[in-house]
Amino acid sequence: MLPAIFTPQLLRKIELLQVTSRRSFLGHRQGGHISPRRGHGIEFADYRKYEPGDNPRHIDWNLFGRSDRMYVKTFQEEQNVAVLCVVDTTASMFTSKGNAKWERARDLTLALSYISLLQQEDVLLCLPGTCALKSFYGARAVHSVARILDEARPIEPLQYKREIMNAVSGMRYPGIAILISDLLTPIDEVLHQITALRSKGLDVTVIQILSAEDLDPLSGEDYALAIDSESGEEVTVSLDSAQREDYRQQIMAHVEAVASIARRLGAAHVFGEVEQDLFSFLSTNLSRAGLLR
Amino acid sequence: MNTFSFGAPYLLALLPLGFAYLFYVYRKGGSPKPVIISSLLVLKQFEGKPISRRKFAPPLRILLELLLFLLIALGAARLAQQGDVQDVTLILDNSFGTKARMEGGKQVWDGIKGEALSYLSSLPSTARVRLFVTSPNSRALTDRPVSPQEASNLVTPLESTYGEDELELLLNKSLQNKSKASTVVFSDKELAVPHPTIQVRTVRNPAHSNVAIIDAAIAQEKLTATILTEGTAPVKTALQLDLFEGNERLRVGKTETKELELSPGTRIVVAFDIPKRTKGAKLSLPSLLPSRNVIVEDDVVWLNTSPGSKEIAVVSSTGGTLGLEHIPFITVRSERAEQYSSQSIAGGFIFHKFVPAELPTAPTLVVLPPPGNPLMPTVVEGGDVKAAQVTRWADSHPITRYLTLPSLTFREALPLRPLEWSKELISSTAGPIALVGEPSGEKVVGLGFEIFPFEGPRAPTVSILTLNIFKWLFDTSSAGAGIVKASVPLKLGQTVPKVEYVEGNESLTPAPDGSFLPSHPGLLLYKGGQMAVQFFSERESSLKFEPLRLPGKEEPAKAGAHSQHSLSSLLAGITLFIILLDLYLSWFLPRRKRQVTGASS
Repeated sequence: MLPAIFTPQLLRKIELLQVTSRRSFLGHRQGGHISPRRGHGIEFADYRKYEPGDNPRHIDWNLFGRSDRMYVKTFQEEQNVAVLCVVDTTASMFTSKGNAKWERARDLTLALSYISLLQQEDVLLCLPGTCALKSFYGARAVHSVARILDEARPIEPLQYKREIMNAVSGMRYPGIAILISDLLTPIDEVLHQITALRSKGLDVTVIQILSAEDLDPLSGEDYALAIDSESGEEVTVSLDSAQREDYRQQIMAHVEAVASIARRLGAAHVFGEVEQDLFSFLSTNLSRAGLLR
Repeated sequence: MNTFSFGAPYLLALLPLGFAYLFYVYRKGGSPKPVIISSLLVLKQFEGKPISRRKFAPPLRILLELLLFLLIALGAARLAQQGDVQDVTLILDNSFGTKARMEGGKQVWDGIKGEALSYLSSLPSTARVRLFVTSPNSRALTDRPVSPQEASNLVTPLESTYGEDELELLLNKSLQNKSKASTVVFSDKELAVPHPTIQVRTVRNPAHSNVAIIDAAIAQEKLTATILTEGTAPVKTALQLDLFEGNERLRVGKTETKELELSPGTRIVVAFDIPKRTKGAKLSLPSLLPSRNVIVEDDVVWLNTSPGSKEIAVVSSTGGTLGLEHIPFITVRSERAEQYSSQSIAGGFIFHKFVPAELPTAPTLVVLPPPGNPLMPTVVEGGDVKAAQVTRWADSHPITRYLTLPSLTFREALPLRPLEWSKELISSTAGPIALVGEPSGEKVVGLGFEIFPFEGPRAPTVSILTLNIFKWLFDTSSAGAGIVKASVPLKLGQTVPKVEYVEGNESLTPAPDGSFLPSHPGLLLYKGGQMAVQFFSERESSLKFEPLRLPGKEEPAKAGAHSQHSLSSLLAGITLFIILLDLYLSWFLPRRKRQVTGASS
């Protein structure tokens, strides 16, 4: 059962979008992405000399007429790609009011999975620390994805890098990797996570989501005991209006640092706020990043 | 006028301490509200105290906290509203003790009355007042709440009486009523422990010097009197005895005086021999200094030895006095049943195997009433009188005192049928055989067994029972026949139209029911007899005031306070309302708003 936000109208609009990759990958079945493999397809790739055994139908007879040499046309094969979705389920994703941040991560995962599944891609779902890597194929599998996401609960802090490495190693074919997280972790850890995804040559897109509470953490309170949702660390904090602005700037600096690291590692970085409309985020932010078109 | 007071004003000292603490806590920052956030990655750099509190710019909320603290402190200090009393019960102690003189010669009662009138004038005109006096017999002067002005009009003519107060009884009844009215008592006594709703305003002479005759009796040509002396110094005085003789206007006969030297805090018994012809006597202490004797009214006692009024009429079918002439302290006359009429006058009646058509207006003993009579019906099975053994008796009644009744078996017993007014005194195997009651204000005893003729020591149990009955019925304890208490209505029968005091040419006017109310002691003369009116009360004559004790939980209250309405519940209500309002505004409403906003987005 899909969440209520996925109305028929929204689904119809989402169906018009397509997952793209900035690189071509070898797939294992016919699909929608141009594969490096030459073979049958629509896209002309090159000529090569006829060799015994080639299908005579592929001989370019016009060229034979002009040059008296037999050449056969080759095409770029269109194959599927694997789309790996790594969704952060640590406690920090569940702290915002009404679990808005987690719900946005869940909805994005579902939307991207739905688009991918419609394109006959293999969707691999990784919720670090909660379950093993699961693979889905076919549009109907979106409901299975939804059920797994629905059952997701906050997990204890873990070795995120190792979890990601395990997920990546489970992929039989390289493809697209999408990391959905708030990435409110030290930059070193962000580096490790993206590096782990890039280690198998995946086309990585990092989607960083922040909620209103992340940007203005003590809304309505100028003095509070801030408790870290994951480590449980407690800090007495006071924020006046100037300090709030300072805090916001520092958060945005952290986002920029994450984007910088992603760029350096050849990954795309997309930042989004929970309050933004879902389809607008898909069609604008992710299209701009080259993940959708 | 509305004023406010505090039950525990010292608790108000908490206010500045509390305010200082609130200020300190606010400056310090108070306990920060715990907020769970996603990550302390950036926020950790903002650790510290709020800048705004360093310069004390309190938010509106601290005013709310101050208001709450103020309300709690006022409630703890037991804020009470005074003066706007709408419902007041006033009890005026006008008992005999208030006749004590204060400095200047005025009676304590004058002070009590003045205080009460002053209090009434201070009440708002909208107040409703119930008025009670304590003596004789505590009673309400108002059948409904009246205005202070009306109450003042009722208080003005009041006088102190010759009667004991029943103040504790009245206050206990008032507490049992659970009335919300505040009670103000004006008395010469004070509460042992202050009470939250009962305020006692005490007026009395601080001196404790009084000499009083607290008992007197005539028995077998001998008159004895008991004199109580209170104070700190010995008192020299003379006890004067005036004897009255003759039946017409009782001309004064012999006067005898005994010089006395009385030590303080003692009681002495003085005896006089009196001649047989004496009809009445007056004992007095005429030569006492006012400073040594604050109550003058207890220095005079009247006694009566005339049998005219208090002789006991023995009415029987056979005539005769049934051996009662051997009892020294009563005088009996015999009447045959057919001679008896409702006009017969006597101090008491004994009906033996006979019952009149209606009970006389005097103490009455009915022995073995004939079956079938309506006044004292009997339970007769088969018309036989049965033998009966006593099974149960009311051992708390004066009549059964000093008796061991289970050993008593009557050969002939006539069970009596209990009546509305009667109480079962002795039960037997045959049924009730002794009933007592006061059907119309007069004591009546009905016996279903024979006690006559009176045989004295030869039948000790029955004789003690008979003497107890006489003692209870005819009040023969000390003074003998023909003596009544002042302020007690006197029923002399329909044939007595006029009653006069021997001294002072004062006469009494009969009440609508034919009774006379002797307002003060003296010797009364009326057609057919004479009656001594006297008043003894050691409790009232003594100036060692016993504090009033009330039942239940007593809490200290501010002495001398007006009637108070505690505002604690009102303050608690306001505090609760503010807390709920704060909860609604600061927690529920924002949450609801967020929910609505979330749903719409």
